[in-house]
Amino acid sequence: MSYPAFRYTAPRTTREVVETLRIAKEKGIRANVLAGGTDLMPQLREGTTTPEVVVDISRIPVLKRIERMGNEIRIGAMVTHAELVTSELVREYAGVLSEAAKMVGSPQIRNLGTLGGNVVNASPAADTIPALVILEAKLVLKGPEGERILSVTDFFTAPYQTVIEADELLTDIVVPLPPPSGRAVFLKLARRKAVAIARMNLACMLYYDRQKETFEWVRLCVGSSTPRPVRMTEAEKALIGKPFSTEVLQEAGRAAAEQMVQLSGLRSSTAYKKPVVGDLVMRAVRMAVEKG
Amino acid sequence: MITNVVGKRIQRIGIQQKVTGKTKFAADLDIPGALTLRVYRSPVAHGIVRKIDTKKAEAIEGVVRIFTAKDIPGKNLYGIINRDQTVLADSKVRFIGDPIALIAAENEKSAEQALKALEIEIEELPAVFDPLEALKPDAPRIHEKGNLLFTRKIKRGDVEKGFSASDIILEETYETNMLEHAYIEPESGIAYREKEGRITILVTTQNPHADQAQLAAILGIGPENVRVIQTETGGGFGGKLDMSVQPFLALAAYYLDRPVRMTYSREESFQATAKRHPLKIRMKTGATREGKLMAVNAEIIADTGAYGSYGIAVATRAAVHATGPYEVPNVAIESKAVYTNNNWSGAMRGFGVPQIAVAHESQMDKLADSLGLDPISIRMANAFKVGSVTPTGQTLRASVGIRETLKKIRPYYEKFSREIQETQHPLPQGVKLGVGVASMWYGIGNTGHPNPSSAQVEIDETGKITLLTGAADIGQGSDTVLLQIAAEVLGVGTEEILLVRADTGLTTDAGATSASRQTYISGRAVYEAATKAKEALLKKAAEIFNAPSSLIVCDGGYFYPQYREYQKIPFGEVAKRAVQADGVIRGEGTFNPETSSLDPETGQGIPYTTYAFATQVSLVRVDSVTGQVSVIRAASAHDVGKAVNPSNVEGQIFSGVAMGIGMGLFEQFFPNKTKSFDTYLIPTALDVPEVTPIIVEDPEPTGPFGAKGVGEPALIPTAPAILNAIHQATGRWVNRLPADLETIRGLVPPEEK
Amino acid sequence: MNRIPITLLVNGEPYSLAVPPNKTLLEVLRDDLELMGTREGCGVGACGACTVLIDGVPARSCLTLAVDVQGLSITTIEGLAEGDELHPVQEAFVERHAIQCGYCSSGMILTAKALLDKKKRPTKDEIKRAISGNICRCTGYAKIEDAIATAAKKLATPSK
Repeated sequence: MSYPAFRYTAPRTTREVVETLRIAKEKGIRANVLAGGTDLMPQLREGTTTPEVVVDISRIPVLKRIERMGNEIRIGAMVTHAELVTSELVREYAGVLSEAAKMVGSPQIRNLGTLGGNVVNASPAADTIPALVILEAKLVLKGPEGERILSVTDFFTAPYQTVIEADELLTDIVVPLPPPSGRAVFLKLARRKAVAIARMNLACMLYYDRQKETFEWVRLCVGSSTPRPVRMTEAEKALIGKPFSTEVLQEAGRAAAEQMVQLSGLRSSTAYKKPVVGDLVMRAVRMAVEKG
Repeated sequence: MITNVVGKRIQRIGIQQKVTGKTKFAADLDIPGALTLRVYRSPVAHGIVRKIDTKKAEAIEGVVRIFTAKDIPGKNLYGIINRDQTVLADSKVRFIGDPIALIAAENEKSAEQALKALEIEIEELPAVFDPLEALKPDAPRIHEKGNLLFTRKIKRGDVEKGFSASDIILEETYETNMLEHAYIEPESGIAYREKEGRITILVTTQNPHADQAQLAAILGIGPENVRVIQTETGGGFGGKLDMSVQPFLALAAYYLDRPVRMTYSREESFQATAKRHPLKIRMKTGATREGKLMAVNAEIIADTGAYGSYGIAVATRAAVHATGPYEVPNVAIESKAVYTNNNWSGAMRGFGVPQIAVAHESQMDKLADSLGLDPISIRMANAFKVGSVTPTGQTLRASVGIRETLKKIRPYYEKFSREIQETQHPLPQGVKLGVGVASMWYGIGNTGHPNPSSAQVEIDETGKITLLTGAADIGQGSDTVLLQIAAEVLGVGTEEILLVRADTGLTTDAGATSASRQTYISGRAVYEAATKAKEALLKKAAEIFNAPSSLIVCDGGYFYPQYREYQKIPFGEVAKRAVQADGVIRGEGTFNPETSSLDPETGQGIPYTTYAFATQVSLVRVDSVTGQVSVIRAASAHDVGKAVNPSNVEGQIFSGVAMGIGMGLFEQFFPNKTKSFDTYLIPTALDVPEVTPIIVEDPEPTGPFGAKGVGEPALIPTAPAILNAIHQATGRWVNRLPADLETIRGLVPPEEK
Repeated sequence: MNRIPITLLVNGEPYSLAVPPNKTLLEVLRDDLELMGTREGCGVGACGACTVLIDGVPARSCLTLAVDVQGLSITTIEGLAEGDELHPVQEAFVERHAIQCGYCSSGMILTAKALLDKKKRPTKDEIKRAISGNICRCTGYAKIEDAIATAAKKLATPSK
């Protein structure tokens, strides 16, 4: 089986990438950015993506950095999942992202696949996205007119659909340092234990004040359940200011389940997912609280 | 019996090449100037091909020729049991993926362009995908003779009387699903026409001699004009018993004066090859208060898909094994194989027995549960022993190790049960543990049909020993096992024997690598061949030593008269003298275990000479919140008669448990939807727990050194043991495979989580 | 079609090639360098049969364009043994009966080697995780895991 022919370019700077994309857009040429290739290559094989030009961004050092800048961590789009798993910075300040990255595909896929690729591919089952949502991450898109920065939740519009323009490049994922009081949990539910697409995944971070016996703040996002990633705000509200009790957890679970159905409508998978979302939210909150 | 080679953990033949990447699978073979072949496949499930216009496709640069049904010189009809499958559709297509046209091109790209340029019109017909629907009188007719391929009946005793005499009767329905073999090597082969005109095909296969016969019929030539050479085969599990690329390679090589090659993509492999038959089973079981089985009545419907393939064998095996390895005086089974427009189902590790075991082993645990018996005791109370009579009326004469496997598993059952009780930390909410047991029996070889094997051992004047066998080693290790048997007989090491295998030009028919039969049947043929060769040498040695040949010892590469080892003469020296006197020594061995055909109305007869038996126990963790089930420990005891190579036997057991975990928990093939390994999930290392393999050796008198088989038995008890463990954990029965997230989540009501 | 010049260091040997941009590393290894020990199982990165080491790191050669690894060092199964002397991982696979059909073995062995390069004494769970992206249908993994643990021991003891 051979891949369709395309032209290939491997620019050395993000500016060159954007310029290439701009020209392609202007001329009506289909161009695709190649990051780790773990999503693009199967799409080429299947024929669902048919680029005329492939722009390889693997030669751009600036896209591979992970650095702390003040109260933020800046992660280049070409940072691989494997690097997210091992990076001291990410583990210390955005551990939930590290945990999520650990669950992506297989070791080989994690070595090739990148955070930027995972975000731009916009699969509703992507493991890193719920983590980015609760970290309130921002995305830096570079276009011909310069950069724009938007919140990760504003980036996605529908499954595999985002607001990125054909002449824009995702260069960085910016993670504001979460409050140190936060305790985070990432759960993935799949049909087998490795190399499996998430049937559901969940990222949760919260602060439970043991003195006051109340949830001070909660951030929750459930992946593979809603058309685009969102915070489970109703469940968060059901917890904030409340004590840790079975009733409160159940209320949060119910709220999450209802919000999911409201956002995705009734589907054949709802019979399974609705009760599981609720129970999984309860489980994750419990685990986060138990982390101390 | 003391053995030197048999029973030893001899390293697998060819492992040095495998470990260094030097092994040549078919796709690795270098064949300069070969054309590439591609097949145009039906995009509809049922239809009549109205028009095939190849003109545009043929005009594409690099396209050499396009073949259609009219180009087939012989019979455009093949199939391993009943011939109902077309190489290229002559009028009807019966599933999405049915081949219509074959393209030979200089390269992949031209072939792909030609695929797109073919103009093919198909009149779509109503299709049927459910075997029960397909049996209705007004269902779309898939084959001319109707949609019922075959019915197998087994009747023994009087089931109604048996039920009347029962204290408890359980009637349940079970469903198993369509599975893909998922060997990692996709189908591949090359072919060319030799100078003398013979068509030679090198191909990944489990069945070289059957391929040869079928290809000769397709090409309308004598089998001597077709040579099939099995290449190193990257797994089969029954999926490489039917032909895949073979007819296309043969057809193109027949017409073109060029070598040709064809390798399926994973997607094509999934679409175009056999699947495991989904079974619908209704089973009614009656027993006394004490748990003694009185009657089993079952109806089985197997979805054989578009073509027969091994459907008849699967329906038959499911029926023959439907009671499980237990004495049941009254039996009435009816098993049907039914055509649908799904992917065709064929042989897959166990031929229907892994499916029917789900039913009989669930029934056993349900009885035990209702009667307050433990799962091992109820099995022990009913298990076959020497002298037991099977549902087909066969008296088991020897090698009935089922009870020993139960005994060997009991300590693990108790250990796993204790582990649950002693679990210190509270489990997360909704998480439960359970232990499950399942047993199985499996007849070795073809069911109620002769299934001979043959082999030769040749010894030349230099003492060089050659073993010739038609048996295809597909990774399970028959090469090593057969060499061990020959070496044991001849008193030499395996490395001293040259192996020639699975080449219809050089070896004789050993039958298919299927039905767990190669160790038992081909192993015995090899034993016979080696024994005959040895007898010729013994005769010569007797002459040399001037002693009766019965007193000559052949051991460690030497001959000597009993108690006079100091007189020993090397094997090669005796061989040289024997060959000088009488010519090359050629021991011819055959073996065809006793079988008799099953009566069409009652199924009475001798389906197999011998059976393998097994019992397995699993400890599982059920997360009733998410629906995830993990097997956390397992032990599996198998009566293999004699483990010719214990490492191989263990390998099969580990492999069977792994495959059974997939079957039990998540493997599902959806026709026209499941395309590759990204959606067809087979167990990874993380899904497979620590497994304790236990080898039981109750020797089979007709087997080589007592050996039977283990390839398929290894799989069979796994899924039912998991289902029974899920019941113990949750108090709920799962009657339908797989026990996936949705099933388990729905199983336990919220208040119990 | 346009071809792009690349240089690769494969098993320590430098190669200069001109490759079409749509050609995968897997295809280049097999078709151009005739290193047939790297095999395609699925072509979508889901089986691990085509695993090679890129700069020592296991990667799917079916998902990697050859042009994308310009200048990098590739290790294939052919590069492990030194002449007739097997690498300890290969030795352990032989000794522990860790191979049945052998189709997944190249990828499996390379993945194991990369693990042991990083971790001298991996736990059972680390071994399972490391090979979780390499599917094998024949062995049930037990003997593979055993072989990797055995290889770790071999590597820890100085060679004879």
